[in-house]
Amino acid sequence: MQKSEKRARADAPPAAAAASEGAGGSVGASSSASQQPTIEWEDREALGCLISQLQSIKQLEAQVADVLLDVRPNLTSQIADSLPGISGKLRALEESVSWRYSSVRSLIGMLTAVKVAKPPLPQPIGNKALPAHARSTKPYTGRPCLDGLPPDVTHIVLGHLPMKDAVPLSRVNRSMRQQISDETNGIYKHLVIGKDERDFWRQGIRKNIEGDSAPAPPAPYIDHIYGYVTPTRPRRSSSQERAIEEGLNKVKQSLSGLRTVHITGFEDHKFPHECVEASRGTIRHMRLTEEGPTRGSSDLFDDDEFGGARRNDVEVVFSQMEGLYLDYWPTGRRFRKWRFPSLRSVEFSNAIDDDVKGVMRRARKLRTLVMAPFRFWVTEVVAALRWCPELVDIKWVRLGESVEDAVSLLTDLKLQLEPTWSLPSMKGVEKRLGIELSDKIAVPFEHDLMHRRSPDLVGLPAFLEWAAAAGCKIEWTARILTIDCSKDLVRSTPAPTGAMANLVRSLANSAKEVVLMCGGKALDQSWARLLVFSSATKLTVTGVSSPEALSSVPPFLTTVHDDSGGNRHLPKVRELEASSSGTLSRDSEDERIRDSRWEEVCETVNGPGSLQALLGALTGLAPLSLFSSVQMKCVVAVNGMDGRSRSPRVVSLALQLKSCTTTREIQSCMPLIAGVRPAKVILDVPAILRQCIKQAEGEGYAVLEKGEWWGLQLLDLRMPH
Amino acid sequence: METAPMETEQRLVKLSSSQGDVFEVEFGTACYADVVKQMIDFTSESSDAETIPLNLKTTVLEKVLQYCDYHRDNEPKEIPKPLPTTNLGEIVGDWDAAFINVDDENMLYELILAANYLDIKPLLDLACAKAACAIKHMTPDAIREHFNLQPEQMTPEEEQEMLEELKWCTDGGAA
Repeated sequence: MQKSEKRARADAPPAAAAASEGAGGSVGASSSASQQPTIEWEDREALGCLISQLQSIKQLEAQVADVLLDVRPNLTSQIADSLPGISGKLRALEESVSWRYSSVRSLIGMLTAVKVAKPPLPQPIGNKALPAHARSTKPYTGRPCLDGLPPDVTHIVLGHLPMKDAVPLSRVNRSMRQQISDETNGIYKHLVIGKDERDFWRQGIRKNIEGDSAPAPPAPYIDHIYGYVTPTRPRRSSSQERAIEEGLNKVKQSLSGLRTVHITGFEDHKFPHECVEASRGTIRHMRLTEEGPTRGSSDLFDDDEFGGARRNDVEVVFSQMEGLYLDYWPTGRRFRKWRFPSLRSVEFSNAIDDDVKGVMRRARKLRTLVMAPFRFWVTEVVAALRWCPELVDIKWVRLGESVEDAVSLLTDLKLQLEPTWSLPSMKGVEKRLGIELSDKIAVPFEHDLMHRRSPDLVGLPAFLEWAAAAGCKIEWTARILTIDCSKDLVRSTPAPTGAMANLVRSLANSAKEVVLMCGGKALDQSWARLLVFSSATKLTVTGVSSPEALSSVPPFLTTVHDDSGGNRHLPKVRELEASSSGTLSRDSEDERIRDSRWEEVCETVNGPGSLQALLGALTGLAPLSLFSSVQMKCVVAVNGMDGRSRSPRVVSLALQLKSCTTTREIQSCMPLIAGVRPAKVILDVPAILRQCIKQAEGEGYAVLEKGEWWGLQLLDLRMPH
Repeated sequence: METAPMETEQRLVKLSSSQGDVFEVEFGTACYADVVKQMIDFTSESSDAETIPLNLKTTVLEKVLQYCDYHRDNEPKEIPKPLPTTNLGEIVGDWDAAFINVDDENMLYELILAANYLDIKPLLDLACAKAACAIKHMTPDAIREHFNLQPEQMTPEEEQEMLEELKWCTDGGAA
């Protein structure tokens, strides 16, 4: 956004313009004492952290004051006499604690009162009279008030309210009433029911219809045996029941021409269900969602009153329905009668395989099938694709946990889609597939994924070739993309070209997390043009067991932009996790790193090397975590990077040493502590291992606290850091 | 060419308000509004410097551009229907909640109309949700008073008919 040529706005009053110039300054920018200090919108998170940290300090000061209260009685007159001046020094200490407590309190008060400025607005760069024709752009319709909005917009406003709350607004005025009762966009055409409306649609609606004609409940009385008694409401007469049924029928009639349905907790609603079925000829879009795990919890649809689907039940055909969104297919038997002959698009957020198959069986004209990502497809679901010959838009198909599963799924997909997609009538029809790569599959792709292992299976390139020939555009995505540099190859695999290159580029672009497996041969430089992880915020490096292992970090991952200094390939990474283990498993009992290894890890972190280069290139880094195999679990947080040439400042290092069996193993952590030099060390050690503490004290640390979870906390006394 | 999209992204577009104030924004920000994208597509490459006039007040255009600039890189959250709470921050996040928490209600409705005019569906949804939050717990009388709307003259028969029609959704049955 261009902001350089700011000018005072013609329509802004001078005071506002002045405020605008001064706005956004720091706390100190507020010159007037009466004005509430304001900070920039971008600083609000830092402000929150600051307040939280100060509150922690305040709590600590209170604890110190609490301990000091117990100290004074122990300073007997004999001790005071023997040690002249001790009483005064203790008082000074007490006063300093009190002073610090009130200072922190005052600071918190000051920061809490700070106002956060709104996000800054863009500023015009100039003002010029436009030519007459420029003024003739289509003016928008409507007036800026509730009853002045165009009908379709009023519908959007009211669509955010449950129907039972929106309908009464027709009492506002004639204009609102017209909009609410509009034949196309009116409220009666769009059923919206929120959670917690079960009581209203079950009983409330009946009570409202009954209104004043409801028999008054007899007054409570006091019985000499039972005490205060509320008698049961008398039964309604048959005429009263008829009147209610008539009223309900009227409502149902007015709700029998629904066009859209949006219900939360659908399985709980019998009356709306009847209205939905009554509107089977008009509903075009339906969205049924649930709040929480209620699948199968409803008893409404399995009782005799409501009835289940029977052999002689008439099918309910939603002849106009084009779009359906479901958390899952409702479990009630009655839903089994539903058919969707015109349904073109269905989306599931939380479906199981039977749900998907159930809907596909009922909707043979389906064109679009969307399933939530991160969900594996099973063979039966893939086989069901054949039931819908017009299906041309499918996502997200998640490739299996292993290469074998992935190849098998790709083969099945081709097998099921090819018969229909290769028909002459489908030529020229745009087809789309969304495929998600499982995080268990790494690049460079394994041989088995790339090449046909048997005549019955297709490899990835062959699948891409088939898709291209069928006119299918594939959208690739990956939540986690693993780069495998752990193999000890003679020559690293060069980057693919053509369709495979596009595939890898898409995966890299979409990945939120990158896992880099070290220990072998680095990726060929040709991968640099494909692996730009523009969305990734976390980098995990495994196999960081020695400086040599880190030579497999591809050099291009450490390159930075000349101008901004940001990493070219990992621009958004804020979190780094490094593990000495070769895998992501942190609990393998089999992997024990020898003492000498720790020194190597220490060198790796603190000394020059690829990891250091990588750290230097990750300019947005916030926390750094180091995980070893089993004995040590290190969580290292850094204050952020000051520049590419400087080491990260480690704030804290946590080491879990409970499973260490020898003193030597415990002692081996000291080179790591000394190398990383964190401000604070948290050791989870067996209490008997005092040797370790002594050694730590020798390094200039003091025991801070014995925690419940973490055995000991050590503080670096060599201030300032 | 890999660089082509980047060049397009860095291209600047000039948009002007109905009051003549000209804003220079990045292509990606301007194209967040479908209508503006169509207008840009319509103009030829040689007319890069041409200013695209928009029938919006400067203050409204500022807010719209602010929204587009933020959301071109941050996909807006879908707003559930009906609104589960009137605290929009819980639904759409801090930024959107602060953005739409405008001091002047007139501005909110201006934004609704602007989003509709420019075909920015997420902004339209957000502003409409805010308007819905405002009226959610208001009675028809309170809405009339709040928006300074004149009550209409109805015959007793019309009134009775309306009350009967609304009975089912009126607590206690009496409208």
